[in-house]
Amino acid sequence: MVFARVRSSADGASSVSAVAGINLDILRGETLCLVGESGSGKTTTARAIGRLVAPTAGSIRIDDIDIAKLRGTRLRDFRRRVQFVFQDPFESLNPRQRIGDIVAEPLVVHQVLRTKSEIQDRVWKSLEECGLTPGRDYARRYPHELSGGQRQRVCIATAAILEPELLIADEPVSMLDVSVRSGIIRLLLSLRKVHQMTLLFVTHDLSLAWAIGDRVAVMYAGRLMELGSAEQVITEPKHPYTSALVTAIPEADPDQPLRPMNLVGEGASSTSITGCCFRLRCPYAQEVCATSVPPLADTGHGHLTACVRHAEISSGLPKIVMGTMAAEPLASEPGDSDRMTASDTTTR
Amino acid sequence: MTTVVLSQPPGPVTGEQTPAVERGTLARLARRRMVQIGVGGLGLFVVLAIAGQLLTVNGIATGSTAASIFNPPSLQHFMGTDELGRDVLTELSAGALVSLIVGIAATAIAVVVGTLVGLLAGFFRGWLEVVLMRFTDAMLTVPSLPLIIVLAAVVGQGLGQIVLVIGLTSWAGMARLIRSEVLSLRERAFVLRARSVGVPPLRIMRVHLLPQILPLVIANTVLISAAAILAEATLSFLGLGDITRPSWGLMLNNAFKSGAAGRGAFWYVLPPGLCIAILVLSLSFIGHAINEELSPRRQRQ
Amino acid sequence: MSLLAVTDLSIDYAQLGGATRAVTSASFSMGTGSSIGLVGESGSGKTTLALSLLGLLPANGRVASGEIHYADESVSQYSETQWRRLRWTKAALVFQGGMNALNPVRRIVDQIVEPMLVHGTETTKQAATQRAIELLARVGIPASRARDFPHEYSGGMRQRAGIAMALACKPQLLIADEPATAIDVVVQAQIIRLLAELRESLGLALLIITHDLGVVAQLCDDVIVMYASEIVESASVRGIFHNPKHPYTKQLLESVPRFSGMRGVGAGISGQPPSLTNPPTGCRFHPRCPSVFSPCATEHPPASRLADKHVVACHLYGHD
Repeated sequence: MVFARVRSSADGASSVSAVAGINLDILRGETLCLVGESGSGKTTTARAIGRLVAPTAGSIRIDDIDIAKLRGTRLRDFRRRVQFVFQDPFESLNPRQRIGDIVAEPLVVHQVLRTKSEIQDRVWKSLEECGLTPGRDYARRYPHELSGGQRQRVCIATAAILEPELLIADEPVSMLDVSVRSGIIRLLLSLRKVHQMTLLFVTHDLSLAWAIGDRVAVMYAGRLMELGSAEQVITEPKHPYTSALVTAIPEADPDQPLRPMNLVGEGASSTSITGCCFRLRCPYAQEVCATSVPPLADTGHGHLTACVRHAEISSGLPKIVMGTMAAEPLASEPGDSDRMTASDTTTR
Repeated sequence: MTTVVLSQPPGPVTGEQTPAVERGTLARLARRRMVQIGVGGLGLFVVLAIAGQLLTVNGIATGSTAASIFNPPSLQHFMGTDELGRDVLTELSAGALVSLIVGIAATAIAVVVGTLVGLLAGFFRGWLEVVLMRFTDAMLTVPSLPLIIVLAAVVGQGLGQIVLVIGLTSWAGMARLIRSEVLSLRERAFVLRARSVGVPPLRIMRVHLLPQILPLVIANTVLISAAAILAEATLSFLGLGDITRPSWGLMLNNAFKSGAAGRGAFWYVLPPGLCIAILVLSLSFIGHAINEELSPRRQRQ
Repeated sequence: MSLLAVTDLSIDYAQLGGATRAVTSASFSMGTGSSIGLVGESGSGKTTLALSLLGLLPANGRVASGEIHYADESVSQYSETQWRRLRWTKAALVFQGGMNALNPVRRIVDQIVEPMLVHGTETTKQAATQRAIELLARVGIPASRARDFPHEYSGGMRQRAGIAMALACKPQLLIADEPATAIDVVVQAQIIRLLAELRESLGLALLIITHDLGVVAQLCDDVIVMYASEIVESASVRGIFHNPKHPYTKQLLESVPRFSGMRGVGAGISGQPPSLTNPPTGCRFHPRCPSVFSPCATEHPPASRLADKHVVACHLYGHD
């Protein structure tokens, strides 16, 4: 079941738009990873879905209603259903508010609970649910008294306390120490399960998308390059850019040799070019790539790619050697094993 | 070797980090020489104003006989008498009260208006910002002293009117400053997060923006009050102030008109001028010190 | 004779209310052409350790004890002039992101030529310019871009130029502090490949300071793991990745998502990174360690050698 539909015109209304040609459905209950390098437009897209920036063209529809048209109580209702976790936990908490007041704020502004003691209990419970135990101790503290990981837990508690339907997490661990990242991600995944949320997870790290995503959407220069289940996109990439991204990630295994890189240049070009926005860096580019913007084409089983030459080249794209290919989610947490698998999402 | 696996201890709370910013800032401020001098100067006049109200020993008018006017300082009149035989010290203390009242009241008006305009313009952007900021620019462009004089002539010369006139002409600088601060604050992640949570605009301004700009407001409040006191003194000196109350400006006006300087009555001419200078300087010292303490250069350390 | 030997090195930072020890009794050595990865999280002391090797500690930092030797020459009495010479001719630093190392108002090629002339690597300006252009070509910057200013370069090119500059006076050791964190995934991959290629062709030794275990696995022969200012484990890269001993190393490896192996995320490490001003007693990892037992909270674990290269500081090993 589709939760949100994101549509923008494929040719890009203006040549300088940060995001164009996004054609993306978010399915209810899935974990969708939006992957891209800096400047790919992944954050802008996520914020547009959460109505923090307004799209200049195209529409985002939830329950078949264009969210740009929401006003007043319906906008409030939308905010309650869609919540964010941002990248920088050091910046995203008001330094002059106590943790308790920060976590209580959604309850107060949405008037979910009215009495002080109800709110307090709910806040403590929410903090503890997010691993900040005892909640009453943490509620009294100020943000500067907490570490980065603890602050991100506070942000997550604040976002989850309203039990939203869609949680948008924008690079929630990229600023944290490696050792606390897993804990934060596991927290997000378990909340998603407990509250039956849909999770839109924005990241630059394809290996993280592989670890947690039901489906993966790859963006480049503000456009969607490839979309499919995590298995499809990462083990059988159809787009040269996705293949390059997979190849680029240094695998934490000394027995895997460095994979050759065949991509030239760097970053997304800011000036508009005709045809495929990736063709200047693409080792497979031909004249046909310059003629028109490649549409997102379905290659079967819900695997979409925006490469006109995908049929010719995809079998020759460099692929990584996978170890165990079982889609065994979340090692050592049995409760999570009934997570939606890739085949579920592709047969919508 | 036996391995006892203990249960995970609860996540330790790191409480040893930086102390609250406010406390550190206050302590640093208190150590500054400029602040010490400024607070000392300000305190002197507060004491003078209160003491004057409590013990008006010699009364103001002692009758203008030839013998009682322009008396030099003596045991009976510590600072001598004026052209009407009034005690200069008593007048000074009454003037201190007027200066402080005008300073506080006019500043309060300017600060409230300036902060409100700056907050609204900075947060809402769009047409509201354009309207508010064009008006602010207009206020900043018109030379303030002539404007104050014209307004004072129109609305009258009571203390309340003076306060209103000064207050309503002093907020524009504050509004600009607050707006530029809010413009950068509103892009900060915690404001974005508050918006994503669904916090309504007025609450964002009250809970998330106002506490952040408060130090800036305080620093400029002090500076505005210095300017307001100077403006009041100027108006009174020009005879546009409340002539029923002895203020420092009025004293200077009287001294000027009665030719006190020509008669060598330095005890009458110098003190009001010095008082204005010291009070304004004290407030400027404090304001600049706070500003400096809050500047980005210091915050980075 | 080793290229670089660090013995029992401790480094303090002076702070209000006492000193903070950022590096505690670190010892290791590097041979010619070797490649070591110094792995740790923020606050582990890895960057401080690297800076001390180049005499670049900040003003409040001080070597409290221990020795650093470059080819049997102690640097403990080095003057600033000697350090400067060492930083070009023996061990050069590649900065994070590349921008800091480059003077924004001078042409790239001139910035590479200058140290060559100052330190006598080349005698004539012509020869130096010639070699600077060769170096730039070596790192993948065409001669046509050699006379550009830093701001005309992209992030990846600046990083490459920084590497070319570090190579100006033919050092034997390249120290790279987070060589690839500030830039994009694809560019990062290119820089890693460049470093691997330079090591191979020039016989350079590499000291890679990073929190990214993938970079270490791909680029290094040996790994040193630091936690809370101490070296907790050191081993060959296969020893660390295939047979980690210290619970911290084990959990750190489990925290990293990877393509091979199972999908999903590991448990991570509970608790918070420790504070250096008030470090835990005994083993510094004990408050977060799943295998904690009686001596951990009180006794500091000694380093025990398990195999030829494999050294671990943990009470679980070496007591019997």
